[in-house]
Amino acid sequence: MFKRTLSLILCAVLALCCLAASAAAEAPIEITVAMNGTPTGWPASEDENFIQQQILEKTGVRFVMSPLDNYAQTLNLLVANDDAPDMFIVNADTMRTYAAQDMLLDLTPYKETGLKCIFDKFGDSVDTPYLYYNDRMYMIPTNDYQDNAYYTMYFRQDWADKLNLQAPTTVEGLFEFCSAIAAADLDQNGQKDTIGFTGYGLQALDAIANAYDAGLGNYVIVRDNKVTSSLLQPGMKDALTMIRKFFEAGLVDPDILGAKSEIKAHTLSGNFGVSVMKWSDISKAAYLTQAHEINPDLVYGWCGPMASEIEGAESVYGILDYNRNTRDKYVINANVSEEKLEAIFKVLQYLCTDEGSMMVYVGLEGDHWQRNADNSITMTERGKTETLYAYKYQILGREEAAYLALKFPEAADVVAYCLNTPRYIIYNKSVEIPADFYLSDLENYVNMQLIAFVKGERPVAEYDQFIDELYKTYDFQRYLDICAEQLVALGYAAK
Amino acid sequence: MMHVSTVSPALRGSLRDRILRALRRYWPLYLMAIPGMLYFIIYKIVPIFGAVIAFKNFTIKKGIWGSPWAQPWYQHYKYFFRSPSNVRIITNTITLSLGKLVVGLLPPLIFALAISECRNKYVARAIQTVSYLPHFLSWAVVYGICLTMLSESTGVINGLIKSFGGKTIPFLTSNKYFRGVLIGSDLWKNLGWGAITYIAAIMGVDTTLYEAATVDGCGRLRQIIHVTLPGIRKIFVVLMIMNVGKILNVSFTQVNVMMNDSVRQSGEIIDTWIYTEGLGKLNYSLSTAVGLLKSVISFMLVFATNRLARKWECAIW
Repeated sequence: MFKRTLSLILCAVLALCCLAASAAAEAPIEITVAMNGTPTGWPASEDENFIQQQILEKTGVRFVMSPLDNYAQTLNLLVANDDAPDMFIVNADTMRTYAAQDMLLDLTPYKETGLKCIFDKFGDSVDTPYLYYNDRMYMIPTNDYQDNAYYTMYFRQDWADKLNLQAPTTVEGLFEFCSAIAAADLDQNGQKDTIGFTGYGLQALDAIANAYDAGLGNYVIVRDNKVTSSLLQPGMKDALTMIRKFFEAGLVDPDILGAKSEIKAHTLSGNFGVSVMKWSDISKAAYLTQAHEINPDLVYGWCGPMASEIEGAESVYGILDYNRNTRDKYVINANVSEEKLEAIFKVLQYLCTDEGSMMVYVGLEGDHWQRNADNSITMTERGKTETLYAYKYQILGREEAAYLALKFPEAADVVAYCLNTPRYIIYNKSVEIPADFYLSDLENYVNMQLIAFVKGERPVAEYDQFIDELYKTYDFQRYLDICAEQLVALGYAAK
Repeated sequence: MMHVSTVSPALRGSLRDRILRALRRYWPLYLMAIPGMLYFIIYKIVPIFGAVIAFKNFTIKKGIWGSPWAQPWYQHYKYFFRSPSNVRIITNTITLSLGKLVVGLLPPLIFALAISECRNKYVARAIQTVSYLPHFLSWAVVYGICLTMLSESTGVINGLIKSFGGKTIPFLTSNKYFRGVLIGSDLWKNLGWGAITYIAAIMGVDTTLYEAATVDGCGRLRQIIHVTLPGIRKIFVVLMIMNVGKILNVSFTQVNVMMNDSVRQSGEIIDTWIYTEGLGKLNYSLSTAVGLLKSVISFMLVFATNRLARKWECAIW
C-alpha cells in the first residue's frame, strides 16, 4: 500500500514538473529595451501597451521597452555593471565609447540576413559611416530624420497687427520689431516686463548670428569647398556687435541661458516679442490650449531667416547637421544570446512591414485610424489619445514630413515652414575626434567666451585675441586639420 | 649588572599568549567589534586595491586584472595635468573649498555661541531646530529655492530691486556672484547642523569656571572670550583638521546642480570635469587616477594640520 502511494505521489510530482517545464518552454522570449525618458501617455502597465501586445501577437516576442530617466548617466551605470538591457538607444559618441569597450554587438555580419529588411525597405543610402566604428557596424540603420529642423522664430501675430508691424526680415528689422513690442506694454499690466527676444540658450541667438554667416558655437562648416569653423568667419565680430546691441537695449530674456522649462514658460505666457523655439514645444494641441487659456486672443506667427548681411551668401537660419542621419540610434548588447538576437531581428522585420510602420506612426487600423476612400488617413479619437508614445517605437526612423502631417495636423503650417527653412549646415557629427584631444575643454571654453562677449563681460574688440587663445591653448589648428582630413576623405570638401 | 624586569606578570609571555589572554578576557568586546571591523575591511580596505586601475587602461569587459597597463604608467595623470582647463578647475576647487572651510567653521561657532547665550531655553531650542532643517534638503531643492529667491526675471530679491527702480542682479548667471551663491547656499544649508557639535562642546564646559569668572568681575563677553572659547578650542581644531581633509572635495552635487554655461568659468571644479571626462566617457582609469591623487593630497594636508595642531596640544593623534 505504502509503495503504491509513494509511486503515485512521485508520478504526480513528475507530471507537474513536466507541465511546468513545458509551460516555461512556451513562455515568449523577452527582449529588454531602454528608451530615453518617459513619453507623454506612457501606459501604466504592459497590458495597456497596445504596441507591445501587437508585437507579441505578430512575432511571439515580448518586446519590453522601459523608460530610463536621467538616461545617459543611468545607462552608463548599467553598462559599467555589465547589466545593460538587450537593446538601447545611443548617440555616435556613446556608441564609439561602448564599442571600444566591447560592450556592443558587431552587426556587420547580419547586414545580409537579420537586417536585410531595413536595406530592402529604405535602400542602401541608410548605410552611412555614422553607424560604424573601426569599420564595424554597431548601430541599427534608420530612415532619414531631420532632427534639428524643428526650430523657428515665433512672434505674436495679434500683437504685431495691433502695432501694424510686419514680420521682420532683416536683423535691423528684428531689433526694431522686438523693441516696439517690448516698449508697448500690450498685456496692459502697467509694467515694463515684456521680453523682447527669448529662446533656448546661446544658440537661440544664432537667429541673429546666422545672418552674418557665423554661429555661436564651435561649428565645423565648409566654405568655398574648404573646411573651416564658424568662429573664423569674417562676419563673426559684426554678429557679436549686433547681439550686444540687443543685450544693451535690454531686449534679451535675462533667463535665456537658464533652464529650458523657464524659457518655455515665458513663451507660453505670451509676453514676448520674438521667441526662438521648437514648433513641437509650442504648436502641439496641448500647448496651444495652455497658451490660449492664458491669452485667449493669442495668434502665433513665425518668421526667419533674416536676410544675409554678407554679400552673395544665402539667408539661412538654425543649425542643422549635414548628415541628416545623425539621430540617436539603437544598438544591441554584446551579451545577447543567439536566440534573443533572432527575436530582435524578428521584431525589426515586423517593423519593416507596412503594418508595423503604420503601427509606430499612428497605431492600429480600425482602432486608431481609418483609411478614407481617397487612400488618405483619418485618426480616430482613440488614436489621438492612445498613440502619443508610439514614436518611441520608431526604432527604424520615419518619413518625417508624412508622419508629422498625419500626427500633428494642428501644426501643419509651421511644420512645413520649418522643413523648408534653409539651414546653416554644419559637419561636426561627421567627424570623429581622437580620444587624446580635449574637445569638451575646447567647446566649453568657446561657449564661455561667446557668452562673455554677448553679455558684455569681454569686449568684442578682444575677439582676435580669443581666436589666438584657441590656437595657442586649445590646439585649434590640430582640431581643424582633423576635421579637414576626415571631411575631405568623405568627399564633403576639397583639400 | 642584574636585569630587573618591569613588566607585570600579566603582560609577560609571547605575543601569541598575550593576544590569546586578551581575547579570553575581553571576548564580548571583541565580538562586538567584529561587524565594525568587517565593514571597514570589506568596504574601505579591500576596494583600495581597485585603485590600481589608475595605472591601467581599464575596460569593463577585461576587468581590473585583465586590462592592460597604461603606457606610460602616469598616462592618466598626464592627461589631467595637460588639460587646458586644469589651472581654472584647480583654482576654482581650492577657492571654493577655502571659502567653504571658513564659512563651515566660523559662522556655526558664532551661531552656537549665540544660541548658548540665549536666556530663554524654549526660544533657543526652537531656533536650533529650525536652523538645522535645511541640512536635510537635497541640493536640487535648495537650487529650486535659490531660483525662486535669486532668478533675474522672477526672483523675489530682483523683484524687490525692480520695484524700487534698481537694476536687476544676475546672481545665478554671472561669474561675479556665482561663487558667493555657492558658498552662501552652503552656509544656509549647513549652519545649524554645523553648530550642533559646538553647542554640545559648550554645554560640556565646566560651569564653575563661569562662576569663578563672574566672581572675578567678567561680563558675558569676557566669559565667552576667556572661558567658552578656550573650553571648545580642542573641538574647533578637530573639526578644522577634518574639514582640511575635504579641501579638494567641494560638494559635487551642489555644483553640478547649480552650474550652467554662463558660470562655468568660476564654477567648474575638478569633480565636475572628471564627471564629464571620466565617468561620462566610461574612462574609469582617469577618474580613479584623479581621485587617488586627491586622496593622497588630502591625507597629506590632514597629516600636516595635525602636526601643526600638536603644537597647540590639540592633535587628533
